[in-house]
Amino acid sequence: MSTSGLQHNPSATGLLSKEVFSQESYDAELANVFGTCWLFVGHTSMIPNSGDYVSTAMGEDPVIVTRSQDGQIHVLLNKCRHRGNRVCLFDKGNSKSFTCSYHGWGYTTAGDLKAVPFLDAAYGDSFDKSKWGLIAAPRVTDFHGLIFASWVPEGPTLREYLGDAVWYLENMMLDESIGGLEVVPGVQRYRMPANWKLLAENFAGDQAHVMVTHASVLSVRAQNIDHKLGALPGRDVRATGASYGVACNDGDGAPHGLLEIRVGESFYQHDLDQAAAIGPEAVDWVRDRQVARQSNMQAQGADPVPYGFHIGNIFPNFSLVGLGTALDGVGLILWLPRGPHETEVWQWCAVNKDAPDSVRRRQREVLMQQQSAAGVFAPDDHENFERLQNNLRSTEGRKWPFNYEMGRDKRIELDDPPNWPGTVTQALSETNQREFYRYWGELMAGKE
Amino acid sequence: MVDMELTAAATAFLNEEAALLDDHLLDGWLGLLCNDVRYVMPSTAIMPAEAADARERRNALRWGSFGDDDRDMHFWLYDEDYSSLNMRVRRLDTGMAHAELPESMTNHVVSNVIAGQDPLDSELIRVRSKFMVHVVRHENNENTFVGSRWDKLRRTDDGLRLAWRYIELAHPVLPRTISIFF
Ligand code: FES
Ligand SMILES: [Fe+2]
Repeated sequence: MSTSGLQHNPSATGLLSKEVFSQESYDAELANVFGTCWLFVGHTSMIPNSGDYVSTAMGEDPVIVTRSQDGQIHVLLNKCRHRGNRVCLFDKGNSKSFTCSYHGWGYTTAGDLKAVPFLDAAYGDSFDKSKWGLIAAPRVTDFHGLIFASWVPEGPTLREYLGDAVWYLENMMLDESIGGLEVVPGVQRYRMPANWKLLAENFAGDQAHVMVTHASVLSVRAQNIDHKLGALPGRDVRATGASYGVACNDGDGAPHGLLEIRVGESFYQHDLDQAAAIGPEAVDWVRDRQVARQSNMQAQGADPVPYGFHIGNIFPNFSLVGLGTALDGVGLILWLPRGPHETEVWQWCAVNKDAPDSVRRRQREVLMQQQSAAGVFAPDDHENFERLQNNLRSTEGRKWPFNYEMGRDKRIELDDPPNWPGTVTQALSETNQREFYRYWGELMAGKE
Repeated sequence: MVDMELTAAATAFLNEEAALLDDHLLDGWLGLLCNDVRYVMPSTAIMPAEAADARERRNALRWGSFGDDDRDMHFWLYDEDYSSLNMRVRRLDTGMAHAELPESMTNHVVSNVIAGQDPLDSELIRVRSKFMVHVVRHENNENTFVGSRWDKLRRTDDGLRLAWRYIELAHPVLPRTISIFF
């Protein structure tokens, strides 16, 4: 197949063939990308008690993420082994078992087949129940609450796969040093008529679109009409700080892209001002958070210490949103492939577990208002993605490659580059997008 | 709880509101809102059948009687007050909000209106309604949002004004992102 190999690697040429978005590529990537990579499937706070479950998906495959009676987490294909009926019909709940509505095969929350109607009357001794449990992802790992699963039994561990991204996730994005995150109830799901890769690559590194696509938000932000929108660092705040992009595992391994990793006292000061309007407990929390995060990262030698992140994508289809402020919830987004022209977006909101309620409320409000299905950001992206996708349906348009040359020949040399893991770049660069397709091409060519 | 006279008044209010929204007269629409309005829209989930008490609690929630826990800690689609709705309208006014460039053609069709006196507050009337909003973005890009609303309208010197709106969309998966009002 012509999409195989590195001829479509924009790291080499700066160009990307649109065959990457074809039906043939789609059929192959379901196996080569979604069938092999570590995929985000949920958060431990969604299933705190034994018997709890939540329905999510790995690529196109619906899965049930369960906590079985012994407290273990399982990721089970939501398909009955008898004739393939869906065994769990709900988005979430608590149950001791899943019973199929067709012929009544019953499974435990660990996926074991325990009940088969007419077992004695109509099945012989050769029928072995232990062989007919729900298909379970062979590898499931809880990374500070984020649950990842993989369909391949062997390969890099999750930590190896995350590579350079581990440091950012642990110290900055998941706030491990200050008690971690928990997901609030509720998931937003919406359809976006665009290929999932266009959405994932945007979250991996598209700084250039922010000023254009989201111009209305930046403009209304400056009018100071609404206090929640005020949480977004304004132009003045951003002007005195620095922002970087990070290409994790640059050139070797799974490419995770982080965008607008922020450095500068102004961001902290801005959060303190925002917190002051909430209450003294919020100010204390922002201050304690800063001290804890700073000393933790300083102890590890980080210079400078980053303040926050705007967005990022963990390859292939899991994005995180932070908006660069302590007062925003962390958005957890899955870009689920639904054909070459369609994506189903699932988004959750995580807040700091140990923050005062007033802060947790504000975090949730800010994320809802800004980066969510009815927020002030996503609908403008939606409109652009839809128009991009129409190009991929155009016979003539499809012949011409996309351009990913930004930041390839010309990079502004960073005066004092941060010493963090991965390749730190100026924020205005398409390095992370090129990296995204570099690895995608390797997986499509069959490289493990 | 159905009161014919109140139902007629509420229907007129909702129809006027729908006309303002469809005509993109959003400042006129803001004028129909109380300064202390709450405008909320949860996300829809497919859940196991609820016990009777949970159903009752959900119903209370729709009319605005819920604790901090219910309202403040769920990830919803809208949880707006006057200032954030105003901000959204001002954003559309910038002329740079691509989701509404060109403006969506919308048709808000409102039906099944039932109104009655609010049992707790003499100034308020409670109104249930159904809606279908047909949205055309461009060419043949069309979507329909379907749902129910639980409103509280306040009697003021200027007529009825919206004090509370709870919107339940009948879409576990939304057909598209949302840049319009319901
Ligand atoms: S399909 Fe599930 S029991 Fe037959
Ligand atoms: Fe965007």
